[in-house]
Amino acid sequence: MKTPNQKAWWLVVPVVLLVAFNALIPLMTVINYSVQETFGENVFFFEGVKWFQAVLHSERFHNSLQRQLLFTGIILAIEVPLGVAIALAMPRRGPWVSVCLVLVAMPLLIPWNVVGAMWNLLALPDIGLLGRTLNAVGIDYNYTRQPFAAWATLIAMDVWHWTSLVVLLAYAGLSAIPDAYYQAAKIDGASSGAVFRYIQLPKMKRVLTIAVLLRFMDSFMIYTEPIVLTGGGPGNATTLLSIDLVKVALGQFDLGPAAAMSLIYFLIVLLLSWIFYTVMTKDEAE
Amino acid sequence: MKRFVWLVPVLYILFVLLPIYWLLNMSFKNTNEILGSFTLWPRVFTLENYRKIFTDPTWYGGYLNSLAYVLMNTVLSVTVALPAAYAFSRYRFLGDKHLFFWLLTNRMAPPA
Repeated sequence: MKTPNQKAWWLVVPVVLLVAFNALIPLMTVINYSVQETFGENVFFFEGVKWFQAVLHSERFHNSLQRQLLFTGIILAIEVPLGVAIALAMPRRGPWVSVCLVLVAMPLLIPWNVVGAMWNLLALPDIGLLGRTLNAVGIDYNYTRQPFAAWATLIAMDVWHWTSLVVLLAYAGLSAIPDAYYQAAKIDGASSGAVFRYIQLPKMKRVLTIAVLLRFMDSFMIYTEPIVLTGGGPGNATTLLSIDLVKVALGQFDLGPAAAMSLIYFLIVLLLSWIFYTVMTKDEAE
Repeated sequence: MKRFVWLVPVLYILFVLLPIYWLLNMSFKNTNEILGSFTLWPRVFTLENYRKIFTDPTWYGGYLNSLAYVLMNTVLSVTVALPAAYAFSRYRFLGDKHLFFWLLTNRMAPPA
C-alpha cells in the first residue's frame, strides 16, 4: 500500500524541472509559430487560428490522417492477435524457453533505420530475397512503383519489428498465472477455449492494454521506417502523418501550417492515449 | 492439434530471422556479387566491408558519436528519473496521477 506523503514531491522535482525545460520550451515555440505569419528576417505577425483552419480543411491533411489511421488500425489488428497466439503457443517451461525468448526479442533490438534498410534490401525486386522470390513465382511485385506492394511491405515490416513486443508482454502476463488456476479448470473439465476466455484473457488484460497503448502511440508516430523504405512514395501512397509534417515543415519551410499541424497531431495522439489510459486505470480501481 | 503447437513459434522465429539472415548474407558479399548475381549465400566470402567500417573514420565516427550521446543521456536521465520513480512507486502525493500522465505525454509527442 502506498503511504500518503507530500514530501515525496522533492524526489520528483528534478525530473519535472528537466522535462519542463525540454518539453515546454519547444512546445511554446511551436504554439508561437502556429498563430503567426512570417516573411523572414524574424518579423512575425499575429494570425490567430488561420493556420488551424487551413490545416483542418486541407485535403492533404485529411488524406494523410486517413492513411495514418488505416495503417495503425491494420497493424494493431494483425499484431495483437498474432502476438497473443504466439505467446500461447510458446513453451511454458523447459530448455527451449530462453532460446525462444531471445530469438523472438531480436527485432526489438534493431534500430528503426536499420530495419528500414534491411527490408529495403530484402524486398528489392532485383536483388532482394523476398522481391525476387515473389516475382519468380509469378506475382508482379515492385514496392517502389505499386502503392499496394508498398503498403504490404510497410505492414509486413512493422509486423516483423513489433509483434515481438506483444508476444513478450503477453507471455509475461501468461507466466504470471499460478498453476492452481489450470488445475482447477482441469478438474471442472473446462475446454481450452474456456480456459483462454475465462483465465488467460482476463489475466493478460492489463499487459495487453499496455501493449495496445504502446503500439498505438508508436505506430501513430512512425517516421523512420517508411521514410527509409519508400520515402512516402510511390506518389503519396505511404505518406503518413509524420512524413507529411516533415515535408511541410522542412521541405517547404511553412512554419505556421507545420506548427498548427503538429499541434493537431499531438492532440489526436494525446486524446486517444488518454482514453486508453483512463480505461486502464478504471479497471485497476475496480 | 496440440502436438503441432510448437510449429507456431518456430514459423514466427523463421520469419524473424529471414531479413536478418539476408542482411548478414549481403554483408559478406562484395559489391559485384550483390548487384550482378542472385545468390542465397556468399560465393566469394569477404570481410572487406567490415574492414572498411572499422578503419575509415567517416564510418566508425558515427558509432563513437552515438556512444558518447548514449553515455551522457543515460547518466542524466537515470539521475533525475530514479528518485522520481521511487516517489511514484512508494508514496501518494498531491497530483501524482496527473503528473505521471504528463510525463507520459512526452513519449507521445511525434518526433517529427
